[in-house]
Amino acid sequence: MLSFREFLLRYLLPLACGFVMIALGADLLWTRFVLGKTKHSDVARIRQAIESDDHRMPIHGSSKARSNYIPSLLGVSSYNYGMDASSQAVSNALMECELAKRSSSAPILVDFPLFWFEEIGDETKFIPFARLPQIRELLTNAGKWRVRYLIAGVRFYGCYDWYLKDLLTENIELTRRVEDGFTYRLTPIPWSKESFDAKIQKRLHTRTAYHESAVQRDDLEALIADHPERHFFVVVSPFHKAFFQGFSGIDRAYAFLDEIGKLPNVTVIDLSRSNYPDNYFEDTSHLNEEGAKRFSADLALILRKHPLFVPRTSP
Amino acid sequence: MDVTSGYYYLLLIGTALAIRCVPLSWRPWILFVSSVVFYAAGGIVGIASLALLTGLNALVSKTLWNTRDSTGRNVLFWSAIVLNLSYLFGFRYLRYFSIKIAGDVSLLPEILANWLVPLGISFLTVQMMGALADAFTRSGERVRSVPEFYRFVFFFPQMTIGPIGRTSTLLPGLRASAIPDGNDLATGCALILQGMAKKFVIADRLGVYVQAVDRPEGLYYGSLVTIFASFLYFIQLYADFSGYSDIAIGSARLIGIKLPPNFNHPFAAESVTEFWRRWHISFSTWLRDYLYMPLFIHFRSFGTTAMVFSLLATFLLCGIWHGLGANFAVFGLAHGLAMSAELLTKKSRKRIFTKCPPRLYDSLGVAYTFIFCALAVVFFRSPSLSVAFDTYHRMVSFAPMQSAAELFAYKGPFMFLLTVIAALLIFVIDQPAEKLVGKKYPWAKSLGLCALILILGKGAGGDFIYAQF
Repeated sequence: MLSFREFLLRYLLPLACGFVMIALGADLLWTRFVLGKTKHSDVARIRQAIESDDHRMPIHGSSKARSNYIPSLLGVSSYNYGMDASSQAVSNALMECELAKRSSSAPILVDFPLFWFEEIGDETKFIPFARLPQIRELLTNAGKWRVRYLIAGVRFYGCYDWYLKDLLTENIELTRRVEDGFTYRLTPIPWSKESFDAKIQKRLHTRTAYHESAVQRDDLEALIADHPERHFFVVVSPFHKAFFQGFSGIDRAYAFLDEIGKLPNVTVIDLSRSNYPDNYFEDTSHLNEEGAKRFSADLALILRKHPLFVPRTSP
Repeated sequence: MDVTSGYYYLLLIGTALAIRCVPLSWRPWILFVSSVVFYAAGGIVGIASLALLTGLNALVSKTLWNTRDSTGRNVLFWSAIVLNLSYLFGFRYLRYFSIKIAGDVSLLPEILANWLVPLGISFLTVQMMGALADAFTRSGERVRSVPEFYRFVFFFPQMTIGPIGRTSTLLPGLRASAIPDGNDLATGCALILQGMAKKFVIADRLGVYVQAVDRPEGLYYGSLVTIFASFLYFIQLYADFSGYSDIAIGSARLIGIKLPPNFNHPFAAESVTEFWRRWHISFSTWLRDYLYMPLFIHFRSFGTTAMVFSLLATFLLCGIWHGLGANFAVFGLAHGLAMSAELLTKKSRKRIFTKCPPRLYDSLGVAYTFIFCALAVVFFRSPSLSVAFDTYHRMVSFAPMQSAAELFAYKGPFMFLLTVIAALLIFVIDQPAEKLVGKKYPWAKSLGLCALILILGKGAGGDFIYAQF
């Protein structure tokens, strides 16, 4: 029979102390040996965006950026920070981190997907960096902020398995290779006309209206305007022609590009209607690896002509 | 109010502290106020009609205990039962009928569902009907006053999905004036942690796998994956429901009320009959005492036929209680038929298996029970009878897996491995602390559960499955 005092001393106290030790230990273990060891996961990308000081041109954007830009073919030292299901808000937050470093003068490439969406993807990837004001604001605006993200020991609750999965996938799954943020499949999936036609039909049956996110747009404009010392390439990578069918109000996206292109530190490169063949596309808005190679080569030709990259010849 | 939310634990700790601090005579009212707060958080409108029905039932119960006129008692009791059933079916199945008749949910039932249908309606009406039957048969504990009947019905830890309170088990606890001692508090905390671990580590993790197989988005899963998902769902259902029961029983223990267990290792059952003695005990004993026994006693002159009939009728009603769809009726009937078959073949099975080693016989029984119940639960899980038959069809089509990726339906091999580990953990978590870690360290199992929840728990858990009933 335990008294109330004994309950506190012989049950609750050891339980609380043990829990704190386990929680802090797990936090430390994961931070050091799981999160600290991943190189290509989204967590690693964000860490790189925040911490790296390698003067490479960062490429920001959503899954479209992730699948379309091959840094090694761009002819410019660069890193692809594209992340699945991440809106311009995520790119803006990462660019803020990049611009806060102030040590780099490399230009910044922003992949503009022609439409705005509100998703920031799984919040798991942001938790290790929740103390940063940019990340906290991003999570708060997306309604995904939790106070526990600031508390060591409990901040990773519900995510431990995801982080471990990322690390294991990276080290065990040998079907992919990541280079400067771009993921190559070691055994490419053969392109199938049937499957692609089905995707086109799906797209043709989905009517889309242009929707503008004022917050993301204003943030992007403010970021660019507030950093005249850095040059921004706002690039629209290719879409399949079916993408534009049934997309009402798309003109407003191009109007935005025109507007932003007037800023002195912006170069807009619009390759949205490049008219690539069907077999270069994964679906109507993402290129496959073949398409990414072609697009990166095309973009390299354009970048090479830009004064920023023209090699200076001695007088 | 969700029993896994911080608000619930604030309410629970507040109630437990208040009980320790206030004069003993206030204790029942503290419990009542906490129950009203708990219920009001779920929807204030629904509580009004339920409060009215509870008041009427309280008066009927009191009258049944006090009146001796048998005709009057009969009329009063059956009128009250009809009223309760009308209330239950009227509110709960209005939406069901509107969907069936109109082909879609019309506006009125939607409003009724969101605003007027009380939380935990099925459990609370069953609990009240049990109390009325106790009063009618003068068994169980006598409810002394109308306020006591309210406290009996509105006891917050078990309000939404049980365990179903009986006058004989809940009333003495509600009346007892003892303040919970250290043992009660330690047991309560351990049970709550056990319930949380079952919910977050096992049920929610298995749930995402089952959902991934249930929503194949055009992908046709092979037989192995379909059977595997069905087994997982059965374990998920147990972890989810027994998890809630553990939290409810643990919460009650923190405020000094001992509730009987609602589950007793159902996967160890060697027959379907035994399974129902171990599964949702508060409901299965309710069914036994208030449905099966009266039916059997009424028809006992027919011998075994009366038993079979009573079993089938009881389990048909058990199925319908879960939902009005044909799938629920078939779910109940399947269990009734299995139990009838076990009853009818009891002697012949004994004769056949006399030479079989007892351990092997027991193991075969456990395997048969698990497989039968896991397969029968497909009717319970499916939205309709046709979907259930489609699932069975997929199971017996012997369609091979298209690739290993099919078995890893949810996010690849690592998550599949974690799912299997989680499913097996149910057999560890259910073990008593003494068996796992000895008596020397009473906190050790709780600490292990905390660590499990922290590391393997699914962050954003889903609703409890039984909350829909």
